[in-house]
Amino acid sequence: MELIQEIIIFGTIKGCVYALIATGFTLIFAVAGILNLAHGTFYMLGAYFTYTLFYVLGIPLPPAILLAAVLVGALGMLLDRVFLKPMRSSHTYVLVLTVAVAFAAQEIILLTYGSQGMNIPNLIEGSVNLNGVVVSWHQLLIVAITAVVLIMLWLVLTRTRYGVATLAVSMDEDGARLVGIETEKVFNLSMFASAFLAAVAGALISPIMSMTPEMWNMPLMKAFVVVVVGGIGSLTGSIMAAFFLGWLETFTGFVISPKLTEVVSLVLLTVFLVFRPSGILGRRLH
Amino acid sequence: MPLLEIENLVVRYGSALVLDRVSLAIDNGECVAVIGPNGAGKTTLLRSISALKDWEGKMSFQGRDLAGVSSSQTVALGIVQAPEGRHLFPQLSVRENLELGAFLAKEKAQKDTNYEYVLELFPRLGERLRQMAGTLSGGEQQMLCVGRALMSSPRILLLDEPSFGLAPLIKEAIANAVRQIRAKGTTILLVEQDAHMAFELAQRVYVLEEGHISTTGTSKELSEDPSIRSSYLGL
Amino acid sequence: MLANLKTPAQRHTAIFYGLIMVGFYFVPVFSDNFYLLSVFTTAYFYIIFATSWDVFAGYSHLMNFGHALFIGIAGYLTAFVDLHLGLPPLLVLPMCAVVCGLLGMFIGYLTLRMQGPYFAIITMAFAAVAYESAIMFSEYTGGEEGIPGIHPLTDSLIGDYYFVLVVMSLIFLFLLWFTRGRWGLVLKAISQNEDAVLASGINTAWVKIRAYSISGALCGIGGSVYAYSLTHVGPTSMEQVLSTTILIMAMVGGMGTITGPFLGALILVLFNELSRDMEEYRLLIYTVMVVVIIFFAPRGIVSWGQPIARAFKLGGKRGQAGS
Ligand SMILES: Nc1ncnc2c1ncn2[C@@H]1O[C@H](COP(=O)(O)OP(=O)(O)O)[C@@H](O)[C@H]1O
Ligand SMILES: [Mg+2]
Repeated sequence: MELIQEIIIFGTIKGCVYALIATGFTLIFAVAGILNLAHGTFYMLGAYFTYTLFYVLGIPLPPAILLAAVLVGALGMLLDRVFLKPMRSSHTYVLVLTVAVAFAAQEIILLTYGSQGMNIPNLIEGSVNLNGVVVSWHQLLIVAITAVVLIMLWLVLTRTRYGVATLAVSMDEDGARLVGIETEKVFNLSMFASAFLAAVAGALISPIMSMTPEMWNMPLMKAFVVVVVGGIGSLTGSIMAAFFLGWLETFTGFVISPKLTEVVSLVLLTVFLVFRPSGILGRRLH
Repeated sequence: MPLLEIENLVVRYGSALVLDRVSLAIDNGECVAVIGPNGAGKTTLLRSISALKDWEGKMSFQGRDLAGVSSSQTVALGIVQAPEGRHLFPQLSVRENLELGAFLAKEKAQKDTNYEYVLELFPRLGERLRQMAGTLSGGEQQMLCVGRALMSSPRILLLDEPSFGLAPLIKEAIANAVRQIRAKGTTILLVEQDAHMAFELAQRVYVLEEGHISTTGTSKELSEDPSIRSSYLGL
Repeated sequence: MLANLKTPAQRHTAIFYGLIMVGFYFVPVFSDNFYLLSVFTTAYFYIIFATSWDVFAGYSHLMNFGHALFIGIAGYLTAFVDLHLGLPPLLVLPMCAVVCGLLGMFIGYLTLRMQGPYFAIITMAFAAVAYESAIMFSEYTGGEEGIPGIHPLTDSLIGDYYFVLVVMSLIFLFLLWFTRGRWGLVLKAISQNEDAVLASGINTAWVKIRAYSISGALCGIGGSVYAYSLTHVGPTSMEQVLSTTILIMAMVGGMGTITGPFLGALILVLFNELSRDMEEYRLLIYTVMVVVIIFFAPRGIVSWGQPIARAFKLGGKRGQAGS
């Protein structure tokens, strides 16, 4: 019984982080058709910026995370405006340019911070015993923050003028332009939100997992899996798939072998892409 | 001064010249049709007017130069299109689609009036307000497409083959709606392959062939022209 | 082939690459410096990888993010066959070509209907699965350490140098011949408008599968020679970074041209090696340079060839029209 509880609790925590990563990845893909291979870079920068704001500038942790996420969001907009805008419609260009940017960012981080792993402290210290499973307060906070952030995202997308415009652009770009929506503005806002969410995930995880200049790889791979399993372009699907993946990985790690956790996502990805493509393909690509 | 004036419009796709020095003018309150075979460039003409496609030449609306004006700004000026392929928002409800049609509308009262007007024009939409647009029948989608365009109080309504692919009864319902819109004084630029419908609805007609205007005149004149009768009216 | 060189521009291009190739053969005449020769050998490997990537991905615009899969598979195969069966390289190379060709065919078949981004993700995933497997099944693969002790190609550095160079030259010539003919045209046409090509009665699926298979086979040959040359194979030979590097080289040089990836690989490898004294800034400069080149020349540095030739009055007007 305890094992099941542990899998549910730790899987949920993992799922939260994956959900934060994948929603932003899906959002910008659905809205602008951008498969952003620098998405993991936003996650990494969220962690490192928080580190600097907290340790170097002495800003308390909660505002430091928020500020870091806003800065990363702004960088995301910059990336889109400067590098992607001229050739957004070319998948080839977008893929190669964003992966090149990811590598360049890795080198910049390596030069600035070195290669040794670093951490930031927990938002709240201490832990709590949930029915026999010991969970840190920080981990519970990750769940709470994710819930709040995702609900806010949902409210923005369904209740605000530009949120609804964003949904409209993701469904039909020409249709959106014909009702007067400024698609460029929607792209900018989506890129901001996408980078912001990834940065929050990176900052929240870094008390638990050390930050390194290579840390951008993991979230990128998870984002692929979540997005492919959940159905490209579907936010709800992504969120569900994120938790599914979190539980499945935790289950594999606890019950079968920790060595296999990383393989789970790869197998899931390949199986879905090869055998269930029609079931998962989003609108954009038929 | 015409409401919409186009002079020597040139549009290319890559190196292909799709519109070659097209000129036309539409006065306030007129209903003008553009007919022509498939691939003549009719859709490209409307897309250029709505700033969805780059163009060269001169276009002005109410005397204002349209060069460099964005698609969003054209809508704000009152140039509104019900496009080919409809381009609805399939996973949003009929009501949400209509509300998005009024995306740029500032006054709530105007929005409400337009909403009433659209539902009056197409009562079938009123019965399906909560249904997703993607699940509507073809005819209903076309109604929603025209309705969405009307939501932003157009000064000129661009209609791209509104009857395309519809059953005769539905086609007649759409034609009826166009008549009512025209009767309200809204200027209409109607693109049609169905020349019967174009001649019936429009006062003047331009014939677009392979990217340029080959003939123009009033509906009456053209419908008596023997070559038009044989190639477009099948008579 | 020479019959195809109708315009002055094409002739100048041929002379340009011909001179580079001949130059390669004379490098050992001027220097037998170990470091220099190994830098050039590395460049030849990347030329094989990048040009073989190009024949499928560059021409079809389906971004293959897992080309290193073939390098790794061929490398492990080479290690097994060499260490357990003791077959000579001249038998092992064709064997790797066949195995990787079939693998390419299989993956090509599985991914046939996939569009740009999906294709990128699935190729990445296949290579990652192979990578993880190589680490997991360590009884057979040596895990992270890999398999050492593969017999060298020849018994001298210069011998190895020429072996790799000859293989590279043959692959490069073959690819030029293959893509300059009907197949290249069909592949290009498919990337622009697959339906139109289908309508003209060509089995586009087969054309793509075949190109992918050739891409895999040639890369497999390269991967095998690579393993021989290092006398070692490990999971790093199918790392994501390697796949990405190959694709970036091809993009920087100019996709869908074969000559572009040739230049891209050559220039980036040489730059990477020659800039060693910049120490830790080397990779930063390298990556930033790549971003800048892709941004300013998305069609690659070969697209600078014509303006440069024009500036020097090479090629002339007919050259531009004929290209
Ligand atoms: N996106 C596009 N890319 C390239 N050519 C196009 C594109 N859209 C239309 N065309 C070409 O422009 C011409 C006119 O098309 P269109 O305006 O759709 O004609 P119509 O609406 O009169 O049927 C056709 O020859 C068509 O092939
Ligand atoms: Mg049309």
